[in-house]
Amino acid sequence: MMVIPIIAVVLYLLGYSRTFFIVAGFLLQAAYMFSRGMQLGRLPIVGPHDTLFFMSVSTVLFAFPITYKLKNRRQVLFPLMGPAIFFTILSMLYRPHDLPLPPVFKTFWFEPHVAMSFFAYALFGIAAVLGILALVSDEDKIEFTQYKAILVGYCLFSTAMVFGGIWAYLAWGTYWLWTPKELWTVILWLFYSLYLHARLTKWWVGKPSVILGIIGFVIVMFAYLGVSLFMKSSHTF
Amino acid sequence: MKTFRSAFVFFLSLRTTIILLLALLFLLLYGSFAMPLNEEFQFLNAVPLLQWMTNNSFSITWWLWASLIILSLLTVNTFFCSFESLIKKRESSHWPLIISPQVIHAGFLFILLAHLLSSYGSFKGTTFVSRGASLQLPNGLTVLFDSINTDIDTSGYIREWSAEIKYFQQGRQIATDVMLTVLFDSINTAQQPFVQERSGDILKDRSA
Repeated sequence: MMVIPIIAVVLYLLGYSRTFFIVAGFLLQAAYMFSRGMQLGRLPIVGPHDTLFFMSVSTVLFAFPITYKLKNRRQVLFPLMGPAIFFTILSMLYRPHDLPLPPVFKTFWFEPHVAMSFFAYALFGIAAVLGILALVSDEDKIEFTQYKAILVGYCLFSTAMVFGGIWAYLAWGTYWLWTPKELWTVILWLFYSLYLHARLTKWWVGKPSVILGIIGFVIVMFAYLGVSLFMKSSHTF
Repeated sequence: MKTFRSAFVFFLSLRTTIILLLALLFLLLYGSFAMPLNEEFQFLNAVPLLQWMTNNSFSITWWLWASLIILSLLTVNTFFCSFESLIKKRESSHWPLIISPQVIHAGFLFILLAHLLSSYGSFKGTTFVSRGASLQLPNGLTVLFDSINTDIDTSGYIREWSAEIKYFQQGRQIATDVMLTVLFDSINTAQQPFVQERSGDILKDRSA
């Protein structure tokens, strides 16, 4: 099964020459996730292997519609495979989590919360890559595409936070806990709130907001991986 | 009048929003690293927030007090900006443009209000019970845990659990019930806060 991520990475790299290979890589990753889901009887979104893989798939999933209307689409689409390749390789460093779900996960709200969080993370990652491309190419259309990616990601992330609160109420009897994970999700939400408001002002429009969009993904990575690796939290499973 | 006008302009300004958001971000960033370094924060989730903040030293709580002040200013700023936005865009027929930011603003304010209320007057207690043990609820009822049942899989992990409980009032049994995981079509609801009058019992795995 672990050969599938390797083939997907190779296909994404071949995507430099033809978009067809990116589509093939995505379908292969989706098939792998589907088979894991069938094996587990649930969405495979628990543990570092599954979440990193889900993150990779989500990145490719959103890369297609985000870049659809860009005239130099393949030149933008291929760099977006960078995060997808990175997360796929990272996922191979961890063993799949095949243990039964703890009872705290057995609620309707858990899967939508996690899925939406990772969709949002993927969109923020796409936005960061678009930001780098915008700085290099100085194209307004790419900057606007970055904004759209962040806006959609922000809406999904806000919904994920609400679902997470409901799950927390069912799991621990409270909508909110002062733990590093929850605090960092608020920091992340506030940061992108800052981006969306700053972009409306003349001092921040253009390159400054593009850079904000890039920095945001550093916060995403710390909220997703850094907190789990370096800080103790009830959110670590 | 001049002061009032200055305050009005201050709270209507997008620059104010950005400065407040930046300040709040830095405070929470600091707090996220300060929390693990002070053992007092281990009890932050056990009591209402304002009670914890007043009972602990300002040297460790200052960033929370500062965050509260910033959030208060941000609340007023959000109100002012939302009203101004609705008034300015009232001629527009593109209603998603009008309401979509306000949905987020309203949600933000609602969540802040909920936090504020629970910071004042919420109650959360944790205790451990074994089979046959009883505990007193804040409303005067006594809950007896008659039996606690677990479904353990071959790896030794708990898959499901339930507890058969009895309620007593002044020594007399008034009700029985079962706290369990409920399967409803494809929706599993685990550990739904079991509400008896105004108190909620949460059945948790001891290792959680």
